[in-house]
Amino acid sequence: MGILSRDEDTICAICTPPGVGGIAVLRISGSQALEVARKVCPFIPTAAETHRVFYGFAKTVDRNNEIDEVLATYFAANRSFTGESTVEISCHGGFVVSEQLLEEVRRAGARLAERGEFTYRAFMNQRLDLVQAESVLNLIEANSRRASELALRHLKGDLSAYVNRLEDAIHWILAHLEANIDFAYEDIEAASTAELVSRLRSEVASVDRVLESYRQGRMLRDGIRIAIVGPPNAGKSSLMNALVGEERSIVTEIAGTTRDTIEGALLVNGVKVTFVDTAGLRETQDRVEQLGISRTRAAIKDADLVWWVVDLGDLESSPVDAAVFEVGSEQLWVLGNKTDLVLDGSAEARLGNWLEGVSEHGMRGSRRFCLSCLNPQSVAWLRSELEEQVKLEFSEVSAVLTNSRHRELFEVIKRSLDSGLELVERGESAEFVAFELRAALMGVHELLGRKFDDEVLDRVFKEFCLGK
Amino acid sequence: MNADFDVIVVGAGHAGIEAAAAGHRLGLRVAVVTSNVDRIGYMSCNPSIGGLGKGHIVKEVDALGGEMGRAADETCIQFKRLNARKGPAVRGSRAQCDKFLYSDYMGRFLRGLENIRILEGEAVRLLLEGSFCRGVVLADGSQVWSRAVVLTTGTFLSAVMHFGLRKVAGGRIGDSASEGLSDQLRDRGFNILRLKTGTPARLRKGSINWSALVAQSGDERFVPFSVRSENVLKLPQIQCHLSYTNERTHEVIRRNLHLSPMYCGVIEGIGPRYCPSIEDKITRFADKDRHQTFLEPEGLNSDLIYLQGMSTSLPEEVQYEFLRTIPGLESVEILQPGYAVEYDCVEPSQIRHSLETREIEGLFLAGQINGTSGYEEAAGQGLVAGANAGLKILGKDELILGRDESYIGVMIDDLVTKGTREPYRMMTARAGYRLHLREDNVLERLSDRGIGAGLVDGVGRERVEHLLKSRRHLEELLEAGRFVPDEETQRALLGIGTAVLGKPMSYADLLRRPELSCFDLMRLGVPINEDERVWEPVEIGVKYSGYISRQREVIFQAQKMERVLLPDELRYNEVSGLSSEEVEKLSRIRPRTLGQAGRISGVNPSAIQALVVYLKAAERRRGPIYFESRG
Repeated sequence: MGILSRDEDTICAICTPPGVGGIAVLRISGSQALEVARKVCPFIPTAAETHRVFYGFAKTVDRNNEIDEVLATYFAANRSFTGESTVEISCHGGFVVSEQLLEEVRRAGARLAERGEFTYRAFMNQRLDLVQAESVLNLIEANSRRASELALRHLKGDLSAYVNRLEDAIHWILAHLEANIDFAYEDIEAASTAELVSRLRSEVASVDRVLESYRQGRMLRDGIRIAIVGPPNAGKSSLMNALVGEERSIVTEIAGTTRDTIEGALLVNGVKVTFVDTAGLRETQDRVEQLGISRTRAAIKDADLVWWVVDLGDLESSPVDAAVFEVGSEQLWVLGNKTDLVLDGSAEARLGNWLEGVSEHGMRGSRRFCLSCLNPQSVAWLRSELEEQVKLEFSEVSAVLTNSRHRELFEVIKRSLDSGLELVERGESAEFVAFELRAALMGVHELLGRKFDDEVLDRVFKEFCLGK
Repeated sequence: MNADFDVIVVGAGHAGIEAAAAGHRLGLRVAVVTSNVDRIGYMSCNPSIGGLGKGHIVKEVDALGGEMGRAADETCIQFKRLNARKGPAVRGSRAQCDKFLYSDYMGRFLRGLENIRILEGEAVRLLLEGSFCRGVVLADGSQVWSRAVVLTTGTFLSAVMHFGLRKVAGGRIGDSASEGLSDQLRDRGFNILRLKTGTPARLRKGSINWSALVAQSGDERFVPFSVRSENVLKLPQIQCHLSYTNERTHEVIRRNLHLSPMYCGVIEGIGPRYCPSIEDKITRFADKDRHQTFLEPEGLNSDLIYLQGMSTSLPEEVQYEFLRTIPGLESVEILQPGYAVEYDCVEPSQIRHSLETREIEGLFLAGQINGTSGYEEAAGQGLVAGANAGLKILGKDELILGRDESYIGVMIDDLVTKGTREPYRMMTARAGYRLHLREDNVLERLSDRGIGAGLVDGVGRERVEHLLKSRRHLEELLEAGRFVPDEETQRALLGIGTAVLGKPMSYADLLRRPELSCFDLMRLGVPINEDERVWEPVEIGVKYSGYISRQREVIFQAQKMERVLLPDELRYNEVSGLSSEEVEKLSRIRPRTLGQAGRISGVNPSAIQALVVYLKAAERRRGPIYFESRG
């Protein structure tokens, strides 16, 4: 929906998912919402009180037929989600009833809302800032408890509060910098270079932390992706099936059975964990298998965690793909599978020796597990380790980025602040620093969907103590 | 009706002179009404022109054909470029002038202009016909008829001077106040504000112990304000001296604050926050143990010393007491005590960008009457008001300067969009596009506008063309010329303290090295035009090209909003989606462009959105919305 399509139409839509359900909710928003609703629900009083529910029968506009027994709730302008006068009609679920009701509401003068239009209006009416508006969508689409918690935090203005605080901090620095420029000849130093540097450093550090939270935020929203990789027939598919508990991957004893990537998901501590079972990594002439292997490499790139599964019974002939070495040691778990084939209890030692042989550093930074995916105890152990990992990933932070638009703007803000800091430290002229800080402010305003204007100057007036 | 003149300018201060001169350059008959013909272009306060943000305005006035820069160049007795070692956008030229010679120069200039009549007298009333201004009535009862009137009354409207708790009617020592005009304006529905300003004591030169003070000289190099001036100073250069207040000074002032009209509630007007009195400084910066003051001679042969930074309205005997605690001033004599002035001004959001009032057609306002402070701010407005009065009579396009073109444009847009509650002083922080609005590129920014409007005379046009051509030549030379890493070049490079070359390099790229300037390239034998006014702007353009182009991009983005014109007759109450506060503000201020609408405080982004939608709908009904064509 283009940003220019704001108009004064009264809009309507069914807000519950399509299909048969217990009830369906139809929302009408706009200056004529009450009038439109009354044409279909004549039992709503003309001077309806806000936040009151009215009971009665919905009728066709021509009043000839009754449609359904409904409840209608009225929200006055400025007291509703969109900020406009709103009526929500709850009717019995079911395609026919809700569609007929919608048809009559449109006949009564409302236009069908476009996707996101209610939220857009809430934003335009300053009920929400842009970050909050976006979180509404995230909340609706949340696929796990943690993701919905995070979206709700954004809706309540957590991230917005952080950005507003950041804006204040940048304003302070800019205002003092400007005062230093314009009052240089009046023997007034509003802030010393040392103070400007220290404040800038602390803002750069805080923006850095927020940017780092993007990985975490994205994981909260989308869940964690674990790529299960390794040589053919090491038991990757069996492992995933054991964890997910359903036959998602076809398991055979023929090496190279999984030629494409297959996904399975699991909720761990309220976080969605998606396993990506991949084609085994080996040199092959088979075109289809080659294609599968290149997908495997792509899966490694996308993954938050890579599980490299090797066959403890056949380590010597296990091929090692370079893609595994490119994974950071914190993101790589080495799983020695088929302990059932190593009966002398030397699995760990064997795996360690083998790793020392195949890689320069013996992959010493990575976690190692020796298990058998056929043994339920092994699988339970791995699962509990995974839970620990999830807890570790989601320690509390103040602001969490989940959205790529936010991340891009934070990158802009960070670049500008970095440059500003560097310029101050190099002793460059303040006007260039100010230019960078203004660029950072533009990023902040874009983030919140606000304009950039002379707020900086207002701040000069307010902050700078020559006046009151 | 037969008009005696095309334009009447009331006031012959810094705004009045530029307004009259602009009218003259447009070929119109101009009358200048002043109550004191001996004080044309008089410096009522500090004896200097320019400074940070203000030097920019002087150069802009010059590029638009104004006279302030010429007068400052001719009468300069100390020249300084402030922030010379900082970046190019925050350098400001400042000339201390012999204020008597300055006033003489301006008097001769104005009298020398054809078709300008100087009328000694006081304008007490406007001649109005309906909503049109047709002239003025003088104190002697005579009526002077015209087609437009420019009011540049400075601090004289219903002015009261405060010497301690003693009040005297008048806008300046030696001159009377102008009564009547502000009452008439108030009756016509104008919102009138009361402002305050102040000036420090003038000291007798011979009573100061100069040996106790730190002397400060001007710059070696002189770069004139005006494109029409030579790079040569006409007058001998003087030194200023620096001294400081101390705890004893502050103690005297604190002990006597109850005698300051500012502090005991006698003065209601709001003072200039950015040019505070010494009482203000001591109160607001209580932890500062000293404040600096410059002792500036008011003229080469004058006995008057101006005490910069020490404006005060304390009684004269208190001024004596605290001044004599300052090193060098132990036995100082005061020739004229410091005092405060309270005066009326028009709340400036009631005027248009052309500086014509909304209420009364043909009435233009410029300078302190619009709530500004400073000679330069006044001159910039005077020029725009005089030009627009003339252009209106001639039926030509208005002269409206953008925020992306000039400090004058920033100032006027600020005034008409936000109004002001205190004397408005220019600061570089006000310019959103500061990296573009530099002193060095003022001709590139404005000379086309000035020439296009017919404000620049033949000499000015010739000099502008010559300078711009020389700059272009130099730019081409720097881009095209190359150094090759031969032995001789490498040795020469080491000789000027810079690294040798690894491969051939253009002159421009070498110049980008932070340690090098055009001087160094000259030493390497590059034939660079030695006129600083040619090479300096080019050097800045080369050295800061990265930031300059980023600034252009910001301007380009903002122009999208600035180019959408809002019709003056737009009925905001018919635009759906505006809050009642927004309707009230938009209807009152009547922004010219969508960009300006967005700068009005209290007008939200959603209102801009609503306006866009409304204009689009209007376009469907009536044809295209209005886009400004510029140049």
